[in-house]
Amino acid sequence: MTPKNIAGMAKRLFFLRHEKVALLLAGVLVGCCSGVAAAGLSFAIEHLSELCAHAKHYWWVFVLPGVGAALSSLFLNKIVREGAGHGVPEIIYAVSRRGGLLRFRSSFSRLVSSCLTIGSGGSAGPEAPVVMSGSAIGSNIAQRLGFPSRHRITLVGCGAAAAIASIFNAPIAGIVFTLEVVLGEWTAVNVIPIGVASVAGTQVGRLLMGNSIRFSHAHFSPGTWDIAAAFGLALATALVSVALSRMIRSSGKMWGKLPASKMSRAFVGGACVGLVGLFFPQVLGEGYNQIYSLIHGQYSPGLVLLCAILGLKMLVTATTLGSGGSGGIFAPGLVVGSFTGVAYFRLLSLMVDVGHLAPEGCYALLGMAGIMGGMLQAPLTGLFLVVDITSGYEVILPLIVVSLVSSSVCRYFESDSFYLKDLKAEGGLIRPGTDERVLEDLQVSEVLEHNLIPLNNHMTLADLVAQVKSSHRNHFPVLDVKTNEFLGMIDLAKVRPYLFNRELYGTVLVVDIMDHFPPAVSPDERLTDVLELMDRIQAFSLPVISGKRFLGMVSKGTLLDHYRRELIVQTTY
Amino acid sequence: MKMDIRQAAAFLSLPVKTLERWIAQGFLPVPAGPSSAPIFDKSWLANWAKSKNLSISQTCQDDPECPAPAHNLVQAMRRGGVFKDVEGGTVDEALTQAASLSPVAGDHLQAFTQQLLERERLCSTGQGKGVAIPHVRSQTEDAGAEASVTTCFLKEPLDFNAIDGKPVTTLFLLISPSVDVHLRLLSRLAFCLRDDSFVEFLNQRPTSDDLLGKVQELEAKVADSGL
Amino acid sequence: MVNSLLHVFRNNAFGRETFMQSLYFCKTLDFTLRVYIPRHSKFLMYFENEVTQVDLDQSYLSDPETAQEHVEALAKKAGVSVDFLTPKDFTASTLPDVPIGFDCMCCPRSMSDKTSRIGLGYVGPKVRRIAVAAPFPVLVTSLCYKPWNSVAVFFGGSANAFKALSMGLSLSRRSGMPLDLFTIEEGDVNRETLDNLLQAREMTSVVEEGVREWHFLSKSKLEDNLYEIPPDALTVIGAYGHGMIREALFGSKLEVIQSQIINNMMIVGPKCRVF
Repeated sequence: MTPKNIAGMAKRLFFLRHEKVALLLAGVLVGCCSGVAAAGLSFAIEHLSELCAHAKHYWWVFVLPGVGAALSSLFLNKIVREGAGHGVPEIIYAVSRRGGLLRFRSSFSRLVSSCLTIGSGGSAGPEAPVVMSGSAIGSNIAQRLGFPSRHRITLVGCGAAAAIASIFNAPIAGIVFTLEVVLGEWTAVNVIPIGVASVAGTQVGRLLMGNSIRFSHAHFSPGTWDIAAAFGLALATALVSVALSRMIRSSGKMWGKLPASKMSRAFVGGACVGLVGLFFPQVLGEGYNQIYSLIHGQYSPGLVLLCAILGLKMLVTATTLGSGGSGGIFAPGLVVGSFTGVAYFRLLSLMVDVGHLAPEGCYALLGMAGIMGGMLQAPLTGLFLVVDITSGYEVILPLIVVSLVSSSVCRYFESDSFYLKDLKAEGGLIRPGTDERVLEDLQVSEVLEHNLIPLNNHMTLADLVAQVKSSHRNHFPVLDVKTNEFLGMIDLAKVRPYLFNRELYGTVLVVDIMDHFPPAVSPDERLTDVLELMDRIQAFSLPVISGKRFLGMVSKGTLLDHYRRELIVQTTY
Repeated sequence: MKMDIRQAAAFLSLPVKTLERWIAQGFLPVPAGPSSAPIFDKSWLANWAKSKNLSISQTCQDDPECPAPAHNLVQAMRRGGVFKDVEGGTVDEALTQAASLSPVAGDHLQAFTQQLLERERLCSTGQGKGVAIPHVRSQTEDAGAEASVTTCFLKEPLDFNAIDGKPVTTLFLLISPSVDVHLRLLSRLAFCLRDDSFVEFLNQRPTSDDLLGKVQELEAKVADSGL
Repeated sequence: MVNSLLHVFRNNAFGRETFMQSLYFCKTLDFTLRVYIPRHSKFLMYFENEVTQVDLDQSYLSDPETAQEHVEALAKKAGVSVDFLTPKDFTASTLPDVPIGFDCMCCPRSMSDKTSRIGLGYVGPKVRRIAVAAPFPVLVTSLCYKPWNSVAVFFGGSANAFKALSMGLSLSRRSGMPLDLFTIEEGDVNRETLDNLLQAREMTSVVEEGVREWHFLSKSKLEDNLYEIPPDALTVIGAYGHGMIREALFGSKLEVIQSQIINNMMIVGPKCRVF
């Protein structure tokens, strides 16, 4: 080993370390910003709802959620022109398909709009908007600092983790949510910056909002019977989460059909929510107070009323989100979960003696984990969220049972989670380490083969035979002699019989024997689609056409070469 | 040695777009972040490619020490030499004699001659018009990397069992490093022999220079036709 | 290699002028034309390190039924084949992603509020951002259809000016039209320093062969120099990725030039590939 080699190695090591340190520092920065965003939003919602509470004695109070939703829709669609509803699927789309690129405007737009929706009484959660903001902040910081896309994706994850960590004061839940839902991948490269960001976000949140565990002082000691009962609860939460997911989706479709502007739709929807809220104020807003009293066993209404409130909460959430209000499903999901848990417990108490079981507050916790596990199909997120926000591991055993069973039961009804369903249908979901991931990164232009010999429409069979000698290929594109436009393709396999027929040499033109409309692909086609087409028509190679111009060919052979190389480069660190 | 992205792409035999994308994604590290004009160090890039199992281009376009392997007939004939009055009462004797005149030398000669005779036994290499093109069935790797054609004008015409039954007066002993070169030389030789005036010319037992001059003339025509 | 140009079609009289400009460009340089007829009021373009949202004004969405017919009729008349672009990916249901694998993009002329808004639509303020982020140059057209018969490059010796110069050489080679260089003398930008720079990049002979005439403009005010630009030239200018603040304080040469001449302009950004 020469000194030159050693110097080179040292340089490289330093560079690698340097890159990782930079990523770590950027992670801290993203985490802090995300934490500030979370604190800001929860502060703003708190104050706006206090302001709205002053008006609760007036008869027109029910229009407040409508006004809030309308304003939030106005802000999103006309002022920042965001043009989108849910935040989390957009993040996953950006991570899957766009190297984590998010717009700058996304880093604040959802904060303002969700504050208006939720603060005025709409039933939605502030978490998804904060996650969106945090991710967009992460993406934009990465863009400014010039990180490559691989690290940009990690920083998007950092933003999301810090957002969840900060708003719930739950660092582990933040990390788990990001890895399980947003990125879909656990690697050493990802986990470290994300963990650091989560810590930074939580700490910033604590500094600004105080270090209060949301539902602490809830101590339960569940036993064997509780684990058994947890299976039943898991089934119940699975059904409820499927129902809630479907309600939100169909509500979105129904409101979308209304012949009215987005703003007036949001207003009407909000006003309906406000009307319900006149009679059942419990269903308004994010609903954390409900969860608190449920966990502490201070919720007095009877079973029937409880079920009614549960149903209304679901309906109201679906209306708020479907009509165009801005917010997430996290908080409503938790509220619905705790109601489901308590309702299940009370139902159980009618049938069996519940003396051996833990108190109903414990079931509220289990229910929350069940709904999270069911709707997001992310069992670990629900699990760690509940552990974090109650700061205790006492209930961990039934918790694991509920979240795992609920999430697997849900899979029977809904093949994909609430966030991913539409995304997957549109091909927007590509998880790391899959075949699609590799094909997505490769472009048609990269695997294009240029070594083809073009013929023109004035050429005869004799000219073709002459060209066959000098080409390695079995395909010959035929171009218009004047405009260079692509006319068709000659496949030697199809014209072989004529090649040895010398009598035809002068009389047959290549245009007579070519394929006039060969299946072709355009250069911006995705390779997954190209391969699908190849499989369908059993072709080994296809011409690439842009406009009417021939660019080259793609073939499975070359594709495999590039595919392997890509896989190796992407998977060895 | 420093390379820009185009040279690096050629070095790795990859499209420039792929390298650009790898830089943007962060799979190919560049010293100053993704800038518009990254510069690579050749040995560093070679190491990186090795760590990723990527092949490095073996072509040596800019390397003057690596000559392009030319396989035209004239050069091969010059390498093989032209010999007159080659002795031999039988086919085997003539072939043995011709092999000893060819560039194949030393230890390989015996094995080579053996292969040559075996090939001849399978099917005559007599092409007709008094010409035979003896060659070896399997490519002899040890015969040397360069193709050669050894021209032997026989002292006595020999019955070679040729397709037209005529006795053979001229041997072209063909040695080639690969199938590719073999076919090319064979087809060019056949092209020349199709020309009756060339056969006539051969029968006059021309000198080495005259023969090579004539072949060069004919080969220029072949090159035009794209063979 | 076949190059292509992206055109976002606007179905009104102004849009027609812009479109005819694109057709002329494609015809002259043998480009293929990809036309995007918007169906939504905004679209996204994902560049390598940036995502740009383009908000279109309502005139882009008017009368989509006849848009395709109009495009086809105009293209047929000009003898250029067009290929319609249908976005396959959507960031949100009303937010399509327009791919970026083109070699040039045509935008109507509006770069800032300095120019009047008449008929310019809202692509305008975004044009600069696209030009700075895109791997392709942006063709900013004159208000009405204006064929060009020569290429004029603004060359001040910076890295981007070199890119503009290479682009100009390529344009001139492909179109067979003459190329003129224009240098605005100021500070240490003069013939001598630029010659040295060219020599350092081994471009002296290329420039000598490819350039018809090299003009040096020395009037103190930038605007006064611009009379020299041939009216029928396609001007090529390099654009920088200056920050917003710097722009506000010092202004931009590009803005001045584009507000003073009505030629077609090709803006060559820092990430642009020369075709």
